[in-house]
Amino acid sequence: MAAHDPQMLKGVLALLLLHLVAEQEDYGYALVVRLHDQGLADLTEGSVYPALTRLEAGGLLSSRLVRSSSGPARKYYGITPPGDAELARGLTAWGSLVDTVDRVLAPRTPARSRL
Amino acid sequence: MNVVEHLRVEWAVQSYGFWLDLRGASWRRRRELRRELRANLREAGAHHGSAAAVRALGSPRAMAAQAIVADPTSARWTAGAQAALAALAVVVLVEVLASLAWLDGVRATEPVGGVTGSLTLFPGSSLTYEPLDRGFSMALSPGWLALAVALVMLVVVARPWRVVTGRGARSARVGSYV
Repeated sequence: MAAHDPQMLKGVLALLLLHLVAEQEDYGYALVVRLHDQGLADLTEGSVYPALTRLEAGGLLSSRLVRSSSGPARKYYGITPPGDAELARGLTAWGSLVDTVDRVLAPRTPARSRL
Repeated sequence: MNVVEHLRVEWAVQSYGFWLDLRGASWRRRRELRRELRANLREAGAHHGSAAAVRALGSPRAMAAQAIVADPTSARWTAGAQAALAALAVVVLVEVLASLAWLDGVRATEPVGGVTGSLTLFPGSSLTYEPLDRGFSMALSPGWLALAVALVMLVVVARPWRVVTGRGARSARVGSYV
């Protein structure tokens, strides 16, 4: 699988995390695994964990500790109402950006191309 | 995970805590973030090995920088305490080495009675040499210099004045907006 541009990934990381957490409450390492399973192996723990911390500090995610039988308690993240609103806003912005970029990058038709 | 892997994880967790401290994270917040990182690393380590888990984190300094906004109004007590301990260890080591040199000098004179002295560059220090029937005894009192150096390092690195100056600057900023 082709590597993704790290700068692009950094720009959409918050959106991806909000979406994954909105789908299902989860903890840091499990979110990394879910991202990797969906083809985003370039996103490392070193960028995902701080992003979760920032989203929580910004009030977009909430968290709770859940005991684990295999080790220390896990910190599960859930989405908050402001997080939901931010996710909706982000999805709209992302859709609009993709449409615009696709339009710009669309192959030129012969009639429109310069001679 | 074996002991080495636990140590590797703990080293990464403590490094993260150190850099969080330098960025002004509160003790409670650092503990919370360390605990979360430890749990994640242990789970990742159980799947891929602790070396790979720690490597995936990258730089703990960069992680801390991304995780929290630096707080210029907070003292950095953990970093200060670590610097103080390191300085204390260095000064005590130098004193021990200097004492061994002093002991060599004293023994070279083959004294019949006890000898007392002090280390020139370490005010308050005292050394006592006592010949015994078989061998000798020696005592070293390190003096106050080691503690003073450690205290200075604690204050210089922890920067407790940031609590006051940061608050003042923040008040001034708020005042200027009113």
